Parts: sequence; structure tokens; C-alpha cells
Amino acid sequence: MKAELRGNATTSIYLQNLSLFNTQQSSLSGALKGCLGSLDAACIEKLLLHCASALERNDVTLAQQVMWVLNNVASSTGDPNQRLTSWFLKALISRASRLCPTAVNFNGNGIVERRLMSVTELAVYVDLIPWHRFGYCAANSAIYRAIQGYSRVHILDFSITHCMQWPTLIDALAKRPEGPPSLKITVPSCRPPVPPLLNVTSEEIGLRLGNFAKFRDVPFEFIVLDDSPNASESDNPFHFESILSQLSSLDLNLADDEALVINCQNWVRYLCDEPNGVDSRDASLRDIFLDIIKALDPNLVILVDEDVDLCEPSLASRITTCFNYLWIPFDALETFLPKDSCQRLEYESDIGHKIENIIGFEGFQRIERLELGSKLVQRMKNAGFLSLPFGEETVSEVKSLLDEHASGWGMKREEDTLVLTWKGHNSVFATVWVPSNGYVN
Amino acid sequence: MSGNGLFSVRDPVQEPKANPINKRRNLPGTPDPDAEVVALSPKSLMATHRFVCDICKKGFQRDQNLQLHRRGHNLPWKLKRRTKDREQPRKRVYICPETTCVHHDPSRALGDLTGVKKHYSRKHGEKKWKCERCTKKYAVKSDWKAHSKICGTREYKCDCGTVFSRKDSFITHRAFCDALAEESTKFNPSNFRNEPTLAPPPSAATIPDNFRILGPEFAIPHLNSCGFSGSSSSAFLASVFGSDRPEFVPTVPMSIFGSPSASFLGSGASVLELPQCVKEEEESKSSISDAVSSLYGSSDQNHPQQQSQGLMSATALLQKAAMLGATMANPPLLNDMGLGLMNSSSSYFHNHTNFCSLSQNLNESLLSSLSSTVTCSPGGDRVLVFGDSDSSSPTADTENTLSNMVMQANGNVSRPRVVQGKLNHALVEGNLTRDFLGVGGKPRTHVNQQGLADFASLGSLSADLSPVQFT
Repeated sequence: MKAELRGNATTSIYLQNLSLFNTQQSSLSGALKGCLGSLDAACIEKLLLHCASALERNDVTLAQQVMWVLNNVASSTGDPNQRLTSWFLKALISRASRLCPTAVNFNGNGIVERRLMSVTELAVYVDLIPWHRFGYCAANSAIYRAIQGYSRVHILDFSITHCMQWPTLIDALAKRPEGPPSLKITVPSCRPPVPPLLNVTSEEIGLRLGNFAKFRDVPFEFIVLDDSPNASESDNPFHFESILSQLSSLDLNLADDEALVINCQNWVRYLCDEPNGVDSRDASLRDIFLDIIKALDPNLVILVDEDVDLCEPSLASRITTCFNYLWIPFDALETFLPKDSCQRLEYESDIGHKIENIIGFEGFQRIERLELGSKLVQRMKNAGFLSLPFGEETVSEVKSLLDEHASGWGMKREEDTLVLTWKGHNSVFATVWVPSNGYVN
Repeated sequence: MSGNGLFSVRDPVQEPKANPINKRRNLPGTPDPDAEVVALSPKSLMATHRFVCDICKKGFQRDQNLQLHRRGHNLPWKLKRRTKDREQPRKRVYICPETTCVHHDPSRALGDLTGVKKHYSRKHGEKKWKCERCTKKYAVKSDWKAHSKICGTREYKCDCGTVFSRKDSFITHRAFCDALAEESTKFNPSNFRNEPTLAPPPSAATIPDNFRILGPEFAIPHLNSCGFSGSSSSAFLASVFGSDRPEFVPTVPMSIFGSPSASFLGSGASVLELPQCVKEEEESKSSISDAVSSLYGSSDQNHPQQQSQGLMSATALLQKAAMLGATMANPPLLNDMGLGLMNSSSSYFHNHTNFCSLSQNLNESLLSSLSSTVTCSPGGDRVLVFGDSDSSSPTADTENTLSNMVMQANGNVSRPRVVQGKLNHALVEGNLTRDFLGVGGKPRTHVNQQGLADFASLGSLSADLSPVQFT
């Protein structure tokens, strides 16, 4: 029997493979009946899992049915659960559409295009919730303290938020009692193709930063690592290998009184964590990157990323974990922005982009490879880094930052890691490191 | 749990610190499986004096206080000992009693009683506390107090008129604001030429004074030989500019804007003077050596005339660049000249519309609610594409358009460029007329209860179709 689903209220549904429902722990029908009264997260999560397992089994019909139900729940302008569900549904559909046998292979990246922001809009965007500012604040404070006594600083900036971190550092350096150091910031020429997307280039960012630095009397220089000629020809659109090769041949020419800081915020997760080669003992790009930056002998390495484990090969576990993590920004935005707010919709759309990649893709196309903070900490230690604790001043600065935001935001310490929490749930972690010179692998 | 929710609760604030070895981290997505989930009714949640004396019915917030009070009645009393030295007490998490709330789900439970109380007030309670200075209202007194402390006390105003309550937002905005750029140009009156520029006086690289980085058009003559790419031209430029500044990596200027060339202060500046270069190119059909000599030779003092043409609006410059780029064979130049696209993040398009084996009805209903465009504000950069809502007849058409799209995708994925495909055009165009919620669709703010009911009632239908038991 063919399954027909209509979007209208009157439905006549004839199911194929009805015995499917018997084999599942929590039957689909039971889940649905439970949903009639309420839309709680557990119910939605079950539906998502049903969909995921249907997709994993290539059972498009069942997946389709669940999607139909989810479609009734989802709403991009509803409450946070509904909004989150709408993005999950889109991601699942994207995945499902690729299960259908098609005449061609789709190897592109299903990236949702969004309106490009201007720099001032991005400045507002990163401050809507302290998701990014937390990392900036902890890092800048740590940097400020680490470069005491140095008259020059060179920062290698690996991040996805287009240097929004640096104005506050420039401001702090300008007020340094012994006078500002001269500041050089280097950024890679390309970045992961993820939001937030800007309508200007890195060079323009650098020019504006330079303008601001001059305004504050901080000697400043901005460098964009040039793209190697081979990069645009490669099949891999992310150019990470070219960045790595540029980095490993980078001659920084550091002066004696120049401090080197490497800032990695929301970056390391885009480096593949699977062995980069045929042998399973081959190092991953992630590990290679860490080796390279260690070899640069930095004074300080900052590592900030999202504290969630999304490296699992199993789709179902990724869906659950993702759902139980990304509710956080949706919930946070709900507290102070109205349901039809443009800023909110755009922010959520960017998260939707992430969801789409995590759920919709596999292999090298799945670029969002988030790792738990604790795992990344271990990885850093294995790579020969020593963690540093955050000073009390830094902690109090972060605390006052969070006080200025909604009251659900908090912070906790887990050994040397600072973790941003929303209503007690971990969201973003921040760590600082130095190379451990006496480390024996 | 008793009906009225009164039961002895250990003071939640004083849970003993967990032994680090036994410490269980609350992992997002996998809450502590051992935690005891406590569900209080709204009444008991908000009850303030839950410990009641048997004799006089006086209520107390804490058990200790009640016990001390009982002493006054000459009743047996005993203060509970802390179980510090014994085994770890079970961690308690609390869920919100409101069934539709996100925190009603045990996996989103909140870790302490105070937290869930505050949450309940904030989210489901009445906002009784009003700020005197502004219109904000709060349900929790401490929130109101915290707000009153800062309301109106600190305000940061940017030259552009925007006001900020937080210092770091203000600083970040200020750094990138056009107002700062314009302010800097005011220091260089000789450069007031055309309309106020968007261009800040760049101090992007420490290069010798009066040095100018030329636009890519100077690399253009070399395009055919080395192929245009960022590195080849900048490598060229680097070699031209000499090796005495090894750390200087001149980048091919990606965005073009005029600049006050006299603003070589302090750290020096790199000046991107496209129109000047264009002029020279046109005039002299300069070879590279000419270009180089003009580089070294020109200075503000020597060539005030050139400088006077230095400023052009950003738009005009971009147009010039586009013209130049158009004459070259290599389309990526357009993109790399900064026409609104980043190097690597550009227009990929998304195809998730090939429901060739899914039913057409599902197509229609799902697609109609999922095609969307962000139409929040006017602006020229709208390229949102999500879903191809044109594929109403999925079969053959979709496959053809799919092939088109994919072939373009194949060609485009590795090169950042604006996708010019017909389909993409249709997508962009088509979507511009739709609102965010779908094809003229009504916003779905509620669950289609009837639909769900029908779906769930399939249980009865199925009896006719096959003998399957539904729970």
C-alpha cells in the first residue's frame, strides 16, 4: 500500500510495514499519542530518533511519516522547542533527499545561504548572548596578563567571528600602564564555510581594526596569510591542508621582546578528528594542527570551543546529543527577544546551518566535529601542552560580563577550564595553554 | 512524595562538595543518570515556609530554624548532621511543574531548588517588580534589584548615535563603525575630495611611508603567465617591494576604497589607490617596471595631483574594479575584488528537494512550509536560499534541474564564486517574494491537533488492514 500523506487535517493514512511499529521500544503511535497533549522535548526527541533510525535503515516511508508529524510540531516562530525542531526537520529532510537514488552524485555542501552581515551588524550579533563574548573575555584577559613585560605581541587568530574579539583587547592594551605594546594580528586566508557570514573581506576588517588601533594609539599591523596557489584547485573546499602547510612553513621572525599568542576559538572543531590517511594510526588533521602550533613555540595558546560530543558515528546519538545541547541558545534567545525578531531568526538560522551539517552529512562533508572539552583537554596534553589556570582577575571579569547578560548565564570551573553555563548546563569552554617543553611523548 | 509536597528537604545550598574522583560531570545531553529528579507542584515549589511547627503552625524556611523553634516549646529537637563523612548523597535535580515548559523534561532539569524557583517565577509567574526608570518588569525581586543598579547609570554613545549599555559592545561597535572611519578622515583635510568615504586610513601594514600597494590590476599583465590567484600576485608584489621587510606579506587588496594618502602617521599605511592605478594603466599602458617605478617614486609631496584623485567612493571603486575584472578572462577576479563575498565562504546552494521517491503530497506540504527567505530588513545582499520551492512537480523536472544544479555545484564548490545558474537565479528571485514562513503560508504557531489526532487514530484504521497491536 502506498503511503499518502497530505498536509491537510483530513488524512487517510495507510501504512506500509505496520509490523515495524511493534518492534520498537516506544512505539511511534504511542509517541504520537503522547504528543497530542503536550509538546515536550522528550516527545520531540523520540520522534527525531524514530526518524533517524528510519533513515539509517533507508526506510524512507517511515521517515516520511515521522517528518510529517514533526512538520506539524515545527515552527520557526514558535516556542524554542518548535523552532529548534524546525531546523532539525530541515536537516533530516536534507539527509533524506540524498537517500533517494538519483542520477548524479551530490558532493556539494548543502549550505543554507543567508544574508551577509555588515561589520556593525556582526558586532551586535556576537553580543546577543555571551556565547562568543565569554571566550573573548577570558582570552583577552589571559593574553593581557601573559604579555606583561613584552613590548610586541603577535597573535595568530583562528576563529570564525571575523576578529570581533580584538577591539576590546586593543582598548585594554591602549590603557596599559607601561604603554601599549605593538600588536600584530595574522589571520588565515580562508575560514570554514560557516556562519556568521560577512559582506566584507578580511582585509577590510584589518583596515578597520587598524583604524581603531591608530585611534587608540596602539601600533598595529594586520596580515592575511596568503592563499597557496594550489588551494583553489583542490577538491577539498576547506583548504585546511593548505593552511596547515602555510603554518608549518611560517617564518614568524619573532623578536626577543615579542610574544606569540595563538588564539583558537570555534576553530579546532573544524579540523577533522579522524586519521588523515589510510592507516588508522595516522594522525588526524586536528592533531597535526596542534603539533604545528606547538612547534611555533607560542607564549600562550587559547582554546575555546563548544562543550558537546558530536563526533559519534551513530546518527541517532548525534541527533539526541545535538538536540539536548542546542536548545541552550534557543532558550537563551527566547528570554529577551520576541518571537518574530529578525536578529533572533538569523541567529537561529545559523544554528540551523550547524544542525544541518551535523545531521545531514557524513564523511568529509560533515565539518562540525565538536568534541567535549574534557577530550580536547586530553588531546592538548597528549600534544605536549600544559594547561594554565585562569587568574582571579580574569574570572571576575568574566563574571561581571555574565552579570550584564540574562540571569540564566553562569560560569563554573572544572580544573583549569572555565565553562559557560546556561541554567547550569555546559555550553562553551575556555582553556589556556603553554607548550610543555620537558614533555616526553 | 506527599500530595502537598511537604517533605523534609536538606538545605539545597549546603550540599557537600563532591569528591573529585567520584565527581560526575553534568554532560550536556546526558544528564547525571543517578540524579534524583524531583517534581514539585507549583504550590510547594513556591512555598516559602515549608517547615511547619506542629504546635503553633508557625512556618520556617529551613529545617534548622524549625528545630531551634521547637526548643522553645520544650519539645525534643535534633539538628540534622551533615552527611559529609558518609557516602555521597544523591544529586537532586528539579523539573518545572509547567507541562509545556522546556524544563519539564528531566533532561533539561535544573540543578538547584533556588534556580527552579526563580525560573518558574520568571517564566510562568507574574512580573510584579517594575523598574522606576524604564519600562522593564521583573518577576523575581533580585532580578529587579540587579537591573535597577545599572539602569541609566552607564551609557555609552557612539558618534553614529547608537547607544550601548555594555562597555564591550560599545568598544566593539566603535572599532568597526563607519563613524570612526569618517572621523579619521577629518584629520586629513587635503583628502577631502569626493563624498565621505567608507575608507579608514589604513594602517594595515608597516611599510615605508608613501608606499602604496597597488590593486590587482597591476598584477593583471601577469595574469596570463602566472594565473591569477592571491598568492602569485602577492608573491610578485612581495618580490617587487623587496626583501628588507620579510614579515610583510602584501596581500592583493581585496576591497577597494580610496584613502587619504597623506595619512602616513606613526606606523605607516598601505594605501589602496585603484583609480590612480587605473589612470596610470590607461595612460601609459604601463609595464610592470613602470608600475614599480611609480611605486617607489611617487609620494604625496611629489605627486599631489595623483593624490587628489586618490579618493573615490567605495561604490565607484568597486564598479571600476568590476569593469577591469570583466576585461580579464578570469572570473574569480570579480569575486576576489571583494564584491561582497568572502574568499572561501560564498554561495553554495542547497539542494534538498529531490523527493523523487517521496510522495508528491509530502513534497507540497513540507516544501511549502520549509522554503523560506529572511526578509527582515532591506539590503542588497540577500541571497538566502533554502529549499527549492519551484519543484512542485518533482519527477523529471527535479531531476533535470538537480543535474543542472549539481553540475554547477561541481564546478563551483571548489571555486568561490557567485553561482550564476538559472536555477539559483530562480531560487533567489522566487524566494524574494516569499515571507519567512513559507509560500504565503500561515504561520504555524500551534500543533495541528486535528491532524495529529487523525494520525494517531490510525490505530483503529489498521485493524482493517492487518492484525497489528498498537499500545
